[in-house]
Amino acid sequence: MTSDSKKIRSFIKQLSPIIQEYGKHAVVNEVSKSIDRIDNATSILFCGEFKRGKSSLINAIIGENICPTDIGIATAVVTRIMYGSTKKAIRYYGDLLEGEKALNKEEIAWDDIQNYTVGDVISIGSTVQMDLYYPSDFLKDGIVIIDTPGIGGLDPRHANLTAMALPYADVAVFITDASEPMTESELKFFEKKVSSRVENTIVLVNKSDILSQDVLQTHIETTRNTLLSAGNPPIVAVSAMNWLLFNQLEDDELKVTSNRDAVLAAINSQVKMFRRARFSQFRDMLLSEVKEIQVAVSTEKEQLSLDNVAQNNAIQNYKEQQQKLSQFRNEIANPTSSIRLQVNSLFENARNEVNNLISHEGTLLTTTTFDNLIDSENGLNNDGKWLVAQINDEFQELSYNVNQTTKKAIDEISKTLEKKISGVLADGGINISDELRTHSAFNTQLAFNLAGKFAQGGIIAGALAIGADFLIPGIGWAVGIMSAAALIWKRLKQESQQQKKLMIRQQVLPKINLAITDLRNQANTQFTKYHQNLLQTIQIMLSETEEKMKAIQQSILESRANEKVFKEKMAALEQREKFLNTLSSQMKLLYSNPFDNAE
Amino acid sequence: MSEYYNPEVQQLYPDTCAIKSQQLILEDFGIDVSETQLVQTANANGWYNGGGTNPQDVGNLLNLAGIPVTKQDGSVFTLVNELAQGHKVIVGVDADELWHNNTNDEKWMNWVNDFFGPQGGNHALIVAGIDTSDPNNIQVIVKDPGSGDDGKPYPLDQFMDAWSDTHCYMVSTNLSAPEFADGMKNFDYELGHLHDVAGVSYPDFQIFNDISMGLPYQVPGVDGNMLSPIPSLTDAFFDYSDNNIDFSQIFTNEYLFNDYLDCDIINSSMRNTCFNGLDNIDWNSIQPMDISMDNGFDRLAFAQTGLDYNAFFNDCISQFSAIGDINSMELCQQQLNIMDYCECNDIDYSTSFLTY
Repeated sequence: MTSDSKKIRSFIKQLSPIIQEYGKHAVVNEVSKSIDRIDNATSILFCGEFKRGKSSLINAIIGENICPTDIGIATAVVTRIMYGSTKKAIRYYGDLLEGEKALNKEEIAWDDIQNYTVGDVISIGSTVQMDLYYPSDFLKDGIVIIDTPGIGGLDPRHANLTAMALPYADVAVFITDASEPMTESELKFFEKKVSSRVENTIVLVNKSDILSQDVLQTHIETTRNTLLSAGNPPIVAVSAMNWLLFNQLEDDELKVTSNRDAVLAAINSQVKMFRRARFSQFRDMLLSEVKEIQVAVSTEKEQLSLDNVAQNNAIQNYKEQQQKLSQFRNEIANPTSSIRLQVNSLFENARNEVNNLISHEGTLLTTTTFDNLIDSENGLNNDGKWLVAQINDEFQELSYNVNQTTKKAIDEISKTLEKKISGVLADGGINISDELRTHSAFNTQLAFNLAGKFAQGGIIAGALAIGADFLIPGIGWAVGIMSAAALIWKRLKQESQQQKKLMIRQQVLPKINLAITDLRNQANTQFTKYHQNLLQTIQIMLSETEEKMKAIQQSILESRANEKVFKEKMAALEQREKFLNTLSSQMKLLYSNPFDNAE
Repeated sequence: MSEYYNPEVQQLYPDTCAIKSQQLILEDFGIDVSETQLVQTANANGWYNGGGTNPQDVGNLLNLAGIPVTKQDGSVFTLVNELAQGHKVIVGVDADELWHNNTNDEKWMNWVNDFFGPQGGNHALIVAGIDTSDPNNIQVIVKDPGSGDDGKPYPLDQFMDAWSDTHCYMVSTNLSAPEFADGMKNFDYELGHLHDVAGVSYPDFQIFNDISMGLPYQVPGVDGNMLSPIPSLTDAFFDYSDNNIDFSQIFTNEYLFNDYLDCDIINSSMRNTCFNGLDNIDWNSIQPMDISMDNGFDRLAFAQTGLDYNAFFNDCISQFSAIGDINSMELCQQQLNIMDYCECNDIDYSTSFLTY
C-alpha cells in the first residue's frame, strides 16, 4: 500500500511546476522538508521513573541488547537509536550548561556504549547524548527511538536531560510498572511534562508477568481511571522480560504473555496517527496554497476577459470607423454621389448667382443708373469727375456683392464637407477631422491667396480698400474708369451741355461695358480656380481617409493578434483551472475519514 | 490459490463484495477506512442488511465520502470511456460465470442458469482495466473482492456474459483517481483522459461510445435467441483500429449493430461530443480555405457559409498537420466521422448538429 507520505508527495510533485510559477515554493519547500523529517525520523520517546524497565523494553523492541540494563545502574544519558545498515555509536559530551553547541562528539566502539551511558557524570566522561545506528526492522520505517534517563532518582541531571529531550518527541511512550499503582510523582510528570506537550502518547504497564490476569486487569483499570483527566491515553500491559525471552526462544507463549503484538500495534498506531495528523496539516497548507493559486488563476481569467472585452470593443469601434470611412471615401470619390452633387450644386448656384448679379447690375450701370446720374443736377459737375466717382462707387458696391456671394458659397461648400467629415468621425475617436478641416481651410485659404495674387498683379495693388480677402478685385476697375474719364475731360471743356452728355456717354459707356465684361471674366476665372482647389481638397481628403483606414486596419490586425494571444492564454488558464480543481478535489479526500461519524 | 490472490483485496464477509469494492476505491483516493467500519455505516444507512448491497445502493459510500458517482447500464464502450478518464469502476456481474466457468459442466450450468435461473447478478467487483494488446483476445482486468484476485484477466466474452446478467450495470466515480492510485502513474490530469484507446484516438473512440449509447441491450436473433449488437460494434471498432476499414465502412451491412441504431439517442449523445470537440480545436492557428478564424468557430455562422464541410475539415487537418497540432487534427477527424455517421444514416449534419 502506498505510504501516507508518498501520497502527499505525489500531489507536491504534480503541483510543483505551477507552485513555482506562482511563487509558492517557499511554503511547499518547507512542507517537503517537514515530510522528509517525519518520514526519516519520527521520534518515539520512552520515559518514566527510573527502574521501570525502559531500556529493557527498548531492547526487546529492537531485538538487541543495545541499552544497558544492569540492575542497580540507571541510564544516565539520552540515547537516540535509529536505523543504520551497520552498527555505529556516536557520543556527545561536554558541559550542558554551556549549551548544545558547546558539546563535542566522537564515534566510539559499539562495545563501549555501556561505559558512556550508565554511571555518574565523571565516569561516563560527561556524555550527554548517545546516537546509535542499528539495522533493526522496527527502525527501518524512519523511526527514531529516544531512551531517556529515569526521573525521580537522586541525580537531578537525569530529570533535566529528560526534560530537554521531551520537546523532540513525536510520540511519547510512558513506562510505568505493575508492581505498584502509579505514584503521585509519576502522575505529575505524565500530566505536566508528557500528555500536555505530546499529542500522541501511550502508557505501557511493564512487568505484567508479576501479576495474574485478573489483578493485571484491575491494575490497568486503576491506571486508566488515574489518567482519565490526563488525556486518557491508550494503556497496554507488557512484559519486557518475556519479550526478551521470546526474542531468544521464539516461544509462542512468551509472545502472548509479553503482549508484544499489542504493544507494537499500539505504538505503530500512535506513529501512524502522528504522521497522518502532520500530513493532514501539510495537506491543508498545500490546499490553502492551491486555493490561492486558484484565486489567482480566476483573477487572471477575469482580468483577461475584461481586457478582451475592451479589446473586442476596440475592434468593434475600429470596424465601425472603418466602415464609415469606407463609405465616406466612396461618396467623396464618386462624382455622382449626393455630397458631390450637393457641392457641385452649391458651386454652380454660386457661379450663376454671381454671373446674374454682374449682368443685372452691369446692365443697370449702363442704362438706368448711368442716365439718372448724368441727367442729375450734378451730372456734369466738376467736369464729369463727379459722375465717374459715382460710377466707381457703384462698381465698388457690385464688386463687394460679387465677393460676398462667392465667399458665402465657399463657406457653404466648406461647411458641407466639414459636416460630412464630422459625421464620419464624430464618435470614432480618430483625430482626422481636424486634419481634414485643416486641409479644407488651407485650400479655402489657397483660393483666397490666389485671388490676392491676381489682385496684386492687376492695376492697383494699393487700392484694395474693401479687403484683401475678397475674391474679385473690382475696385481696380473703378480706377480704370477714372483714368478714362480724365482723358475725356480735357476734350469736354468747350462743348455744350448736350454735347458734353453725349460725349461722356460715348466715351464712358463702352469702358463700363468693358469693365463689366472683365469683372465677369475674372469671376469665372476665380470660380474655375476654386473648383480646381475643391477637387484638390477632395483628393487630399481621400488620401487622408485612406491613410486613416490603413492605420485602423493595422490596429484591427494588432487587436486580433492580441485576441489570439488572449484565447491561447485563456485556454491554458482553463486547463490549469481544471487540473487544479481535480487535484484539489483529490487532496481534500486524502487522509479524510467521513465514516467515523457517518452513522 | 490463484496467482493473482491478494489478501488485501479479499472481502471479509460473504456478502460485502460491493462494500469491499468501495473500500478499495476509497483507499485509492487516500481514504483509509476499514471494511468493517464501512459495513457499519452502510448498515446504519440502510444500504446493507446482512444480505448484500442493492445495485442502486452501490456507490453510496463513495458519495458519502465526497466522491460523486454515476450509476448506469453501460456497455464495454461506456466502461472503457470511464476507465479512459481515470475513473474507478464497479460492475455488477454473475460471479458464477467468472469463477466457475472452466469445466463444460460449469459452463453448461451457467448457460442454463442464464435462461432458467434467477435473473440478475450476484456480485460486485472492480474493473481495473482492459488489455487490448491482442484484439483477438481482449482481456478484462478485474480486482475481485470475492476471489481476492488482484489484476486477474478474463476474456472479454466471458466477462461480458457475466456482466450482461446485470444489464451491464456499472457505478463509476466522476473524479479521476489520484496519481498514487493503482494504474494512474502516467495519467495526464491536464488532458483529463487517455490519449488513445486501443490504438484509436480518444475523439474517435468517443464516436464509437456515442453509437453504443443508441444500441439496445439485447435483440432477438434469427434463431430466437437473444443477442447483443454491441459485439459487432466492437468488431467494427477493432477493424477500424487495425486500419482494415475507413470509418464510414463501419456503417455497412457487414456489422449487425447497424440494424438497431436509435439515431435520436445517438444524436443526443454525439452532439455533446461534437460541440465539445469544436470548442477544443485551436482555431486561431490556422486559416482553413483562406477563412480567418481569428474569432474562433461559430457553428451557426459556419452553417450559413454554404462551404463544403468535408473540404473545410480536411483543409483544417492538413493545416494542423503542418504545425504538428495532433489534438486539433484528431478533433477535426472526429467531425469528419460525425459527418460519415450522418451521411450513412440519412442525417443532416448541418441541422442535426451545427445549427441544433
